[in-house]
Amino acid sequence: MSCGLFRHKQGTVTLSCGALLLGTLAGLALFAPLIAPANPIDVNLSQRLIPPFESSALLGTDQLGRCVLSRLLHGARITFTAVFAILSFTVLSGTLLGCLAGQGPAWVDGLLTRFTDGVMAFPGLILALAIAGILGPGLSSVILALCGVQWVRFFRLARSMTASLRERAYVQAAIISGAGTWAIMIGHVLPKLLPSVAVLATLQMGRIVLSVSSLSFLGLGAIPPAPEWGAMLSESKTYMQSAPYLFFLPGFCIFLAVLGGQLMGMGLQKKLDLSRKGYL
Amino acid sequence: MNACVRRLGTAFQTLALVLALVLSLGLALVRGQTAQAAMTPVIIGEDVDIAGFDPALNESPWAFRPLVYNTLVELDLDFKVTPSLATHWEASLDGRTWTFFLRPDVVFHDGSPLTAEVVKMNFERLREGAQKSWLSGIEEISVPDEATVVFRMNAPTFIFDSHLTPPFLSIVGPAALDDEGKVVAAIGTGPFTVESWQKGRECVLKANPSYWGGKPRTDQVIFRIIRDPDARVMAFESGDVNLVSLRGALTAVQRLEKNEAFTILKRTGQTSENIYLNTRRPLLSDARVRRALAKALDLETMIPELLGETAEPGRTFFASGFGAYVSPTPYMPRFDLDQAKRLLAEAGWKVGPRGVLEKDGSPMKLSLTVVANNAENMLLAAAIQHALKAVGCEVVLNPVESAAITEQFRNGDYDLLMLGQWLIPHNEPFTHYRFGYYHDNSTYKVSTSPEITALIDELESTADRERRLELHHAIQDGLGQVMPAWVLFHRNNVIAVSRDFADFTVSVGTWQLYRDLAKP
Repeated sequence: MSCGLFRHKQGTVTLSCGALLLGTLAGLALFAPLIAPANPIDVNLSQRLIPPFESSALLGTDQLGRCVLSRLLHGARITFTAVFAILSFTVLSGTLLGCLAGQGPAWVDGLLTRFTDGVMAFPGLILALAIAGILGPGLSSVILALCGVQWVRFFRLARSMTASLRERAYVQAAIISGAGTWAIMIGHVLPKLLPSVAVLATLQMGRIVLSVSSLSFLGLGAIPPAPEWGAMLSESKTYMQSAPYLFFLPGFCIFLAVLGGQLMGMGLQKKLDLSRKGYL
Repeated sequence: MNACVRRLGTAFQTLALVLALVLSLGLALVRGQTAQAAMTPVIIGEDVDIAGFDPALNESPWAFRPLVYNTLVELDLDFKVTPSLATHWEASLDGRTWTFFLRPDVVFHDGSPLTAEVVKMNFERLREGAQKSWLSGIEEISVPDEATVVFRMNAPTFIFDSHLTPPFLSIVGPAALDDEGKVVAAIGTGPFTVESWQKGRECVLKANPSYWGGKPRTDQVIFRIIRDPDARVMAFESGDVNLVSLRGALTAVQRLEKNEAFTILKRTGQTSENIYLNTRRPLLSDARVRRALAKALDLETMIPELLGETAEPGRTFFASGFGAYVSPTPYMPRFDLDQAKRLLAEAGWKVGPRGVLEKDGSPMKLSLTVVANNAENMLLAAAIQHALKAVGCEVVLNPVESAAITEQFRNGDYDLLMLGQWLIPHNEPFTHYRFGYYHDNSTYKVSTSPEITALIDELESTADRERRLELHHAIQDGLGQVMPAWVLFHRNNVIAVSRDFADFTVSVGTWQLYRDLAKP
């Protein structure tokens, strides 16, 4: 009992830290146009490579004299937009298809499971690279590529949980009393699924931030001059020795976003005691 | 007394012995250092590995080939045509017959002699290979004697000696070829022989003691393959390599200049970076628009700020390395934002609601195709995007792979396209207009007009050097009026060397970059 309480409290602290971190970043992203001191794409060649705290640009300027702080703030906007879009799609599609596979006819389950096995046979980032490479560079390509790769995780979770819930007595009772597939899914399965899906979604958040940044770093993501964090890292590679802050700052932002997602996911997991229940 | 003298004598003997020891030790050390200095290999950080031993392969790095092989005629460090395997040559008045007289007593790396038959065999091979387009003008090759090769051309050719200078037309020894005629061994006549090659890692060259130009004083040259420009510079700073080209390393020059252990050597090179404008697209079909947009580019500020010592702002059509062939009339217009706006207004473009110019309901929105993994080009593209925004032209960057950009260029699938000024492999830029970009029968047909095509045709059939220069200038000035390309910058050959090699001379030509290592 006391152990459970401790886990619960620990979960609350971790969850709060993660939520605070992500909330702050999301807030900054949301209000970036209002709080950014300059236009993130405005070039000023006379103000190139000024280190942080040495001019009106608080975090310095980049290789084209653009305000780094403004670019980071707008970069958060791009990253969170991508994360929101990818999570919305993958959570919805993965969960619904997973429920369908777990609850529906055997041939549907077989077809969907074989397909997801196929998708999961490739390392996620490599597959996303291939998809984004075919679609051509751009943030929308990255979003599509990651949607195509990430939904399978939610599918597998939803499918395995649905299959296990299906054997529960109250679900069997609902089946016997003549409830339809959709009614059982919405009324009995989904409410049980949601906490696990929420935890997986928060844990996936950090992974998605990393994937978006990685693809942009490789030149497949946001097209310059868009201030995406991964693209900023890539652009600053050349200046690693002469202006290391250009490399450090976007890297630190990526680290904070990933940490926020991870803490929130872990906190939620502990709070809901899901890992002990064996769902995640 | 005797004992005292004896003791003194012993002391002197001991002192002399110690002195002799110290002296011999010192001498040994000095000799060791001298020997070490002479033995110090030149280790070059290079981005591209050799693709094989065939000098005609396009994939091989430029600067490797002239160290191992020779051509009949070559360009010296100042970009001037100079004898190599041919000591002298002559052309018939009609430009249809070129006779080359071979240097006597030249031997290949395997000891076999250079003969006219070997030269003929090489050109027969080259005419069928990857470089056949460069030799399409040859009708027949004959060998009247052991030391003379005669080329019969199918049309008057007045710069055939320049055409033979690119190292992809190098002569290889007969033993270098396998049964199928492929080059499988590095057997040339050049100043260095290939000692070893580890694919993707390094290639070691050794001085050729029987080199016809005298044994190079550099005993060993090692090409170490480091693909990333910044990693190459880091390897140089850490002492892993002692000579490195700073092409593409944007911040290295400023950093290395501050270090007294290094010397930065710079010389204007032969290549330039351009933006080609697709004159077939409606938005860019008006020469006034192309000129107005060029006026919005402040290259005199942009290039030094962004590229520092590695480039000179584009003013003339070609880099100054081409000497008298470059028209003295500036090609790029001076930066003048007001005049740019005025010209655009004259062409019917009005400022729209978002600050973007509009004409007949169409916004001035252009895509700029650029090589994605080229940091230099991406940096410039972002600056140009911003500069054109100032006159109401919205530019969207289109980063593509380096292989795809050539395809798009060839297919005319672009608005603006940033790429190096290609197809000038030697000191005479005729090929650039004729085979590259500005003739009716050129590869890319960036912009053609009957007048420019006629001038290029006249240049092709003109032998008189003075008239040729006039025609070159007329073509460049004519293109300046049409403005089918913006010359952004002329690339400098910048090399960082450790102090031991401070007397290294940088070449104008890209191919000849490391050729100074061959000096005896």
